[in-house]
Amino acid sequence: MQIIVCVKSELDATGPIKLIEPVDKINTKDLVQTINPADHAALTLVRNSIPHDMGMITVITVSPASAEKILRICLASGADNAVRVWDESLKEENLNAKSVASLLHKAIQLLKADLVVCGSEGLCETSGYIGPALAELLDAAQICRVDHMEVSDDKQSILFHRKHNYGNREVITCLKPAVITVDYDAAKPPAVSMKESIKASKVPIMHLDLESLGCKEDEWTHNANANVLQYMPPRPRTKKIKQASDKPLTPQQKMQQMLGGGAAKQSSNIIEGDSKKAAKEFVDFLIAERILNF
Amino acid sequence: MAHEIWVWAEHLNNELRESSLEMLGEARKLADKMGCTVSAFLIGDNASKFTDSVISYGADLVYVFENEGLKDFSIEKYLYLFSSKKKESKVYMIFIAATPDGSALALRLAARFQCGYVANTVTTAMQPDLSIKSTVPVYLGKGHCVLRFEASETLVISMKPGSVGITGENKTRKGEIEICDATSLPESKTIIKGYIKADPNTVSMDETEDVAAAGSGFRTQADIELLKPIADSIGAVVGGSKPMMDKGWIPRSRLIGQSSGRRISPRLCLCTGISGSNQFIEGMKDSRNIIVINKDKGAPLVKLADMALIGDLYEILPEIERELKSRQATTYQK
Amino acid sequence: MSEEKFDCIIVGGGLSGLTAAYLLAEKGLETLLIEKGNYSGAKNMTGGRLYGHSLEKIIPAFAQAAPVERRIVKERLSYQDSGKMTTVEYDSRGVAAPEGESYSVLRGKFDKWLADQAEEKGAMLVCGVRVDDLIVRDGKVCGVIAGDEEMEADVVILADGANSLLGQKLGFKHKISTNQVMVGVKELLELDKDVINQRFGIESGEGVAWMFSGCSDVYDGFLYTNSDSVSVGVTMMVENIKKTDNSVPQMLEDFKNNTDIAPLIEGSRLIEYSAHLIPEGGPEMIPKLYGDGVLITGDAAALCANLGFTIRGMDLSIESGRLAAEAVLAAKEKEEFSTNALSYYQTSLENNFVMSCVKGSEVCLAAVKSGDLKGDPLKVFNNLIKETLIG
Repeated sequence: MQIIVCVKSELDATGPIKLIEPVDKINTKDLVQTINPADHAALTLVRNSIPHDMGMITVITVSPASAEKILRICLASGADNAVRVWDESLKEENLNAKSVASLLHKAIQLLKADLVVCGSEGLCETSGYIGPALAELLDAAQICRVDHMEVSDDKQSILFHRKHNYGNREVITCLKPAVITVDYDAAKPPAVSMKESIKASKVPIMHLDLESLGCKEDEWTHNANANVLQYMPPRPRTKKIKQASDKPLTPQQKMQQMLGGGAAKQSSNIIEGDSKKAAKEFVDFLIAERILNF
Repeated sequence: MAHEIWVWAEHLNNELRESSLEMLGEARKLADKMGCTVSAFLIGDNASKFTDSVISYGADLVYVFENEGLKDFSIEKYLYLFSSKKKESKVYMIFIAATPDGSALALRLAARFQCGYVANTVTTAMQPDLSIKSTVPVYLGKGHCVLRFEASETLVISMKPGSVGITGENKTRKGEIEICDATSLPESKTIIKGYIKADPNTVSMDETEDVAAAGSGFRTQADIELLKPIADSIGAVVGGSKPMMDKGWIPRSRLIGQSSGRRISPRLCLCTGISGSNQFIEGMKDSRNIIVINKDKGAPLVKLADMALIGDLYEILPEIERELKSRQATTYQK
Repeated sequence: MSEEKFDCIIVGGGLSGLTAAYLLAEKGLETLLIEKGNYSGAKNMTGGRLYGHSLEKIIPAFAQAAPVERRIVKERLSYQDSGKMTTVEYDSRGVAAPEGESYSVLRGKFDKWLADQAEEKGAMLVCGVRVDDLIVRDGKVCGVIAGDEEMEADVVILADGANSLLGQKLGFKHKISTNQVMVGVKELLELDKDVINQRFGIESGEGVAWMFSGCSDVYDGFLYTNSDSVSVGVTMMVENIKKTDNSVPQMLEDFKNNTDIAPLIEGSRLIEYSAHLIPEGGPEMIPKLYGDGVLITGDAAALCANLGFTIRGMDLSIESGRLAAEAVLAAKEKEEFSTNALSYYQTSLENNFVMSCVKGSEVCLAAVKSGDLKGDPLKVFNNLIKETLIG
């Protein structure tokens, strides 16, 4: 089985970010590079479920050379091979999710895969576009937020568990090729191993540029749909009230709604005094909201 | 041809999902400002039974795709249906709630249509030139990013359930129903084998449907057991505030609040003996129904509550347990 | 048995470890450096100012490539006494001699840069792994143990910091006592570049190193200007903390609120709060520095010098790392890593400014303990000039 795991080098958003007024660009100079936690979890989940003799895992990233550290971490975490896609003509700031998906697609076509895996979300700004975008480009099956995998006895198919409603899991199989995404908490990456790190440092990393991908300029460049206007410090979000349609919002509530995306709740239903009464109202409420069905 | 705003009206267990009602409300607000039509997509093996509700919650037009083959969610089939409508329409925005199926669909639609996608928005507003300005959290919520999307392109908007609240139902609203062709569906590339139900003992706080939270109002760790019968009746997971975790009375995985790194938005958050620090409230304020049991009427959480029971939790909780037992008994007698 | 053997394994990715790694790798030795933080610099901190001379010898003109903050051009020493302050300032802007330069640095960035240099030379760096123990056979150190993994080497350099547990495990070092170690705590405060320039009377790229004494019986204060932030902090003997009811963070707060400091940091924003141990035991605290197959460098070797008005540690660490590398290279030539072969390390240290600095601190420590130093501004002033010229 050939498996490709797409990984991204991200700035460690748990570090200090200074943002006190609207700016064009966030000052990220104090942040260190780290592997996107969801991608690391994705690699770990697949490696834990598919041992080396059953499947070869290649990790791939679209990044300049500084990201090779991330690939080494992957090689020390169970990946068999590593590929870095980059070209001198590429500029990090100009690459949007669509173009990265395009480049990954070209590389995957070259390398061939039965299963493509990526993290379901980025650490800093990504929305999780890459997985479904690759499924679209590869015309592959798409399973999002997988947290468990089992290879069948005949090694021909995989059973996946996917996060479904209310903590339930959907048990699902699919046709090949398949693209799956994995949440950051689906699997805990292995502790750093001295020996694995040393072995990993010796594995040659394949470098693919636009020429080796057979890319023509217009094939992979895309205009971003979103234009970043500015970054601002986080605004408080106020929760919207369950509005009775006949009660219009007061001017203050309207202001709050415009600014924070929701009018602040007014305390509605306060029951004091009698515990019996409180209990009855409570159960009535739950039944009315269909949280309880008697 | 008027511009449309699409909404995927998801239904589950024979009910329209509340998150879809939220999306309809959002779509309706924007449509009213812009003079657009809200078109809802109802897809399933018995989709047509929801048309009235969908209209009363904001749709002008309902596309009904009804077919036995649509009993289960399938990305390939849904893509096909949405694409079939896209050819004929001018779609300004597509609202899809970020449920497990919703997120998967929304992202894939954006990829299929090569259009803009924005998720977990804080605010979305139309500009005078009809472009759309949307604010999203970045860097783990440490900053907000304001994005601009051109008016001429479609935008897929995915919103977290509970983030905007349901706007009221208007039973007098009129709308059109269009029964669409759902006969020739593509094969699904995924095969659903079954489901594993969540175990209330192990399900994570951000996935569980209902939550019962314990706070400093509880005098001992053992007293938190008072919540158990109520939680069990509802199927809720018992969690707690930071002081509870600091004391070792609840594990870290059951912590509610900003320091857990997560915001939860369950259907019910029952807060018992919690006054509601900023930190706690930030972690659960998107909950659809907040019920508070507290001695103190002036506690911050009370302001946020849909219902507040003011009194001693040591009296109220056993009373609730009694009430639940008596209701159950009555039901069995029926 | 392990499949791999390194020429040298270095435990600790601070300045002395990285320097040794850089030099050994440069000469072609198979070198492995193991750092417990997620990256070099993650667990390090300084007040602080780096005297450039020792690194200058190894990487000439390093300040042009390395992420140093500001070049120190003004030395200030203040003595505060009940609201009155006497400040002596030494302004060296007229002098331009790279060997004598010192720079304010932020260790997270700086160590990371040095780690990159060492890797470029061919050193193998593994981060996020803590070495728990050493492999010792017949009294000879043969390698390291991390978790359930073992790695062998001809020689191990312990560069694992002030509280070197490995040094203690070998019996070379005693458990540190509270009168041998200081704690330094500081806040990194963001302040606009131009505001810093204005308030301290300097240009961009120029910096101030400022020490305060007399403000308290327990602590001394410091302030260093960085590129667009200031480091403000206090140092105190750990054993003195119990002499006061104040907590350490409270003492830092008091220092910041001090009428002379507060206006300087007005309008600043806290970026980071950090603390670190500083070995302060003087020459008595220096452990056994070498043995069969092992050397100890840097803070682990207590090679720190508190000279009353300045604390030297970083440049001494770098120099000790250099001397350790030289000792290893000399031993490698003879293919012998015994105590005898490595004694070269101790000899070279003793003939080096490193040891004379540490010994010099003995005098200062005694003076500080007896209260002498505070009473004689001229003596301090004289020492300051002498020290700045040496540094």
